Amino acid sequence: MTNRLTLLARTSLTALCATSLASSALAGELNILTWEGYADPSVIAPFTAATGCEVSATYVGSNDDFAPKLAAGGGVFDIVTPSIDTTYSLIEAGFVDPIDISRVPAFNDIYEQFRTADGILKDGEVYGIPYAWGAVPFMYRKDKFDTPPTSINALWDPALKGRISLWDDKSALYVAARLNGDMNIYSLSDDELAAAEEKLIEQRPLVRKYWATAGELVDLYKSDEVWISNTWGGYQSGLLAADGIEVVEFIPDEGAEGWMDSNMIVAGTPNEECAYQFLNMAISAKGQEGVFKVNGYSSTNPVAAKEFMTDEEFSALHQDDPDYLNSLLLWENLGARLPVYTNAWNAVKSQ
Amino acid sequence: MRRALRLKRALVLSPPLLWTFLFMFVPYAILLVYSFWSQNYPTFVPDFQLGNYVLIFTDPQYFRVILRTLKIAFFVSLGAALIAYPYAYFLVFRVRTPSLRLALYMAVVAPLWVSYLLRAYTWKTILGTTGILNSFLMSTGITSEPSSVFLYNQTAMIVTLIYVFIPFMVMPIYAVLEKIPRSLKEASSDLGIGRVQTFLNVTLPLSIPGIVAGFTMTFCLTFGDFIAPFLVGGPDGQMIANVIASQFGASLNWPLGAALALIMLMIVLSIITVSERFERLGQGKFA
Amino acid sequence: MRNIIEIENLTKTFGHVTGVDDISLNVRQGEFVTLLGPSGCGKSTLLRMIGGFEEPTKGRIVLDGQDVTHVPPNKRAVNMVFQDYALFPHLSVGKNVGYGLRVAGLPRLKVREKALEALALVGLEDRFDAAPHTLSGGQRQRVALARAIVRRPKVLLLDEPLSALDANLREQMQMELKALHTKMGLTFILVTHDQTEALTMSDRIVVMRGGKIVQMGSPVDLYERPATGYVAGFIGSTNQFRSSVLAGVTGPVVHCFGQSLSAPAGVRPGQQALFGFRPEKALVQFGEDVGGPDTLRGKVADSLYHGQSVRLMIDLGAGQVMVDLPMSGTAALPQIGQAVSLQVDSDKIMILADEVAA
Repeated sequence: MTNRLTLLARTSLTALCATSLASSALAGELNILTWEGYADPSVIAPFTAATGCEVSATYVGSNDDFAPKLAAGGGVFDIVTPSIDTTYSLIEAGFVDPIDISRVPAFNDIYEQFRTADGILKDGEVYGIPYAWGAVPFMYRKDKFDTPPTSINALWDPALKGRISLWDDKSALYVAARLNGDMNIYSLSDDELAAAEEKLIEQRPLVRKYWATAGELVDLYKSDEVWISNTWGGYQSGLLAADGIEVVEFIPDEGAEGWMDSNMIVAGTPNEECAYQFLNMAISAKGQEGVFKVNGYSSTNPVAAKEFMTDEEFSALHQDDPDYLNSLLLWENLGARLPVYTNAWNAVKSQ
Repeated sequence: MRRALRLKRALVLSPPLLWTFLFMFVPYAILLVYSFWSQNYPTFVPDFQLGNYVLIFTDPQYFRVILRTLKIAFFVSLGAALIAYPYAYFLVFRVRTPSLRLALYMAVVAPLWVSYLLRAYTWKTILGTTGILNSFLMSTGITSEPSSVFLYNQTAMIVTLIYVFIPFMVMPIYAVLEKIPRSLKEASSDLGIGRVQTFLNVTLPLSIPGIVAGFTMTFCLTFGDFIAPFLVGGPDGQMIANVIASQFGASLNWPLGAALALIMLMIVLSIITVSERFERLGQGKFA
Repeated sequence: MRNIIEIENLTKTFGHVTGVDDISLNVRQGEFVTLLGPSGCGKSTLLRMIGGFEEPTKGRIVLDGQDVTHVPPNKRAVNMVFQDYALFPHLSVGKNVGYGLRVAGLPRLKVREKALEALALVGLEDRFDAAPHTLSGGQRQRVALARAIVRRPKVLLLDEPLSALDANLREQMQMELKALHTKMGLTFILVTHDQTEALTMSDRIVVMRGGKIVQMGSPVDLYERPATGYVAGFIGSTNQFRSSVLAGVTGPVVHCFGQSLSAPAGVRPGQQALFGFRPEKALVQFGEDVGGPDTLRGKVADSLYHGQSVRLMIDLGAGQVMVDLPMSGTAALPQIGQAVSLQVDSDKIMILADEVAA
């Protein structure tokens, strides 16, 4: 708070007159690079009204979009919201700045697993404020299965030829590796990676289409092209339910990956004050309610979540279940192995 | 005096030269420089090494994708030519009313003003399992169950790309057919030759430049396409432009992407060179 | 001699426009017939119907005793030399000439022999391998001719073949065409709008207007005895005047722009008709009071020097006539304003019919 006042004092004399006016006098503009649903008007409009910070959002289709967009030219974005497998590479590349935790009071309310995750820390400094999380479960059309599938091998079932879809992403390798019994999916050896690649090549004739966007997967289910796939937990199933198509999400015997998205401040942003306001808002009850209501994702801040979730909702999203959280294979930064994984996935698609 | 003239000529020529330099030469030069850099996770660093090119020529996945892209581009061009030629022929030689001819010509060319995405998307709704084609086949009793063989495979890509790029085939063929004097066909007929032989010996050889031009354009456009694999392609639909896009995106390996892009450029340039030769060949030595 | 072509009541309409209107015409074996008329008179349409390129609306075309009215061009034993030559740009000269034979499946050597033979007739056997676009206009014309005669057609059709050539070349080609016709003994049907071309080459000229035949006959017939004012004006120049025939002292007279001349034989006083005389048929004498009877008197209004002759415009007071004065090398050119008398004998005066409906 002191820092903030000093800053304000330096930049704006009028801001000194009354603290209550300070917020509206910020009048900055935030450009955020984030996921669809993370900049919903129901959240952004009150934020702008309270702080005077205008927000314009650009959406990514994949975590792979962050680095190229930040690499292509500086000065455009102030905030990015990458997933936990991408955060560290942005830190390493110097695309993001360390965060002054003293200016984010609610940081310590966040689940410990998240706020101490390797992906957002470097040299003892925090670079990301965890915002939302979820699993990457599997999902199937309820009307098409007499016996509900419980294993990943359902996606290798020749009887389902032409009805299977998989996310067009390196995560396909995580799925195949687990089917091979390799649970160390973020540190696969070359041989294990080759085996996963082999497995995916074997599966390919059964695949109708690799889905690239959330909307595409929804379309594939709606037009009766696909019956089983992996999914972004809660999101696409919600969209399909709204269209009257009943799908069931399940965590297979081989487990599921977990993801967690964090807000990060782009290096050298001229709108630092607004950026901190945004970070704080995102983990406040209002911000967390937004991501829950709009996307159906779980909350990273259980203290805030308690304020707007019913008890049933709280447990339905596994907010009170540390075992569930721990059972998820939370995405990790692949580091220098990323190109190897990407290459292996491209090799599958080149067959 | 002479000097002034030279200066004047330089001034007249310099804007286009500058334009070419800025918007053609410079980007390619940058691409070339990048292609020798090396990836240093998480980004890439200046370097001078041929590793990217070595990788492209040793890892079979690149060769496979380039081959697949060439194959699809070939079938798209061939299909487009087989459809466009009779259509253009019909317009030029059979439709007598100029206004009707113009209307039919515009019917093919006008879709160019409609977004590519929209046009490609149309085919999704036609070829899908619950799409128009399946509904038609089932309502006519040809099939009893919806078939999934129409969408999400290479054939669907070829069909969609033929549809999307066919104006580029119709236009040059139409132009070249229209330029063939009517008297040549009459002369052939006058010399005792029937329609089919006249077509094979006069019309077709004289329209080869148009076919080659259309073929080249369609081929190169298809070769660089990355939307169709995304929209209507199946798991075996990845083309070279998708790989390049993923190198500039997902892999954050611009050097490899640049090397691939340059190889793609080389392929396109050689296709254009070959097609120019072919065009001259078609014209015979008398062009 | 027998008729190689018999055309009976041939009509061709394009929508509401009648291109050829009920024409009947016979062409004899070996004849050189020219269809002459201004553009739009139907001569080209008539030729194209003979060639098979236009379907007649009515009527019949018989070629060598066989009805070919609805036979396509490739099944007719006639060949055409096109106005634009229509040489195949992708084929060499030799291949152009041999095209029909080659595609029809004649052995290669035979094709070559025949093509060379045809090219020799037009003097271009040494350009066998040349590309059409490397040839001059006259040479292209000859290649087109060679290609059209290589199959020895029963009739050779020529559609304004010389119109794209310059004047000197045209004159030379006229002679060559005529010579070729004589040498080969083929039947030629030529379409032209150039009366000189028609006069120099044809055995018979068919003058057309508005889709109909106005008059046909030998060049001399048409020149000396044009049936109508239209023909008289189209072939050569004619001074035309309308007059009643009056009784004069020595016989019937006619009035040419107010001055009287003895009327030609065959008209009687009281008749009214169109009369004319050719500019070169008047005897020209200079001076105020020269010349005898049947003389028109006037002044030189203008003169156009043609080398071998000079054309004078003579002002008769009530109008002008033109006369041609042969020039001998030493004679001085007539002066403007000089008094002149023109003797026009009655046998030089032509009686012209009223024109057909225009």
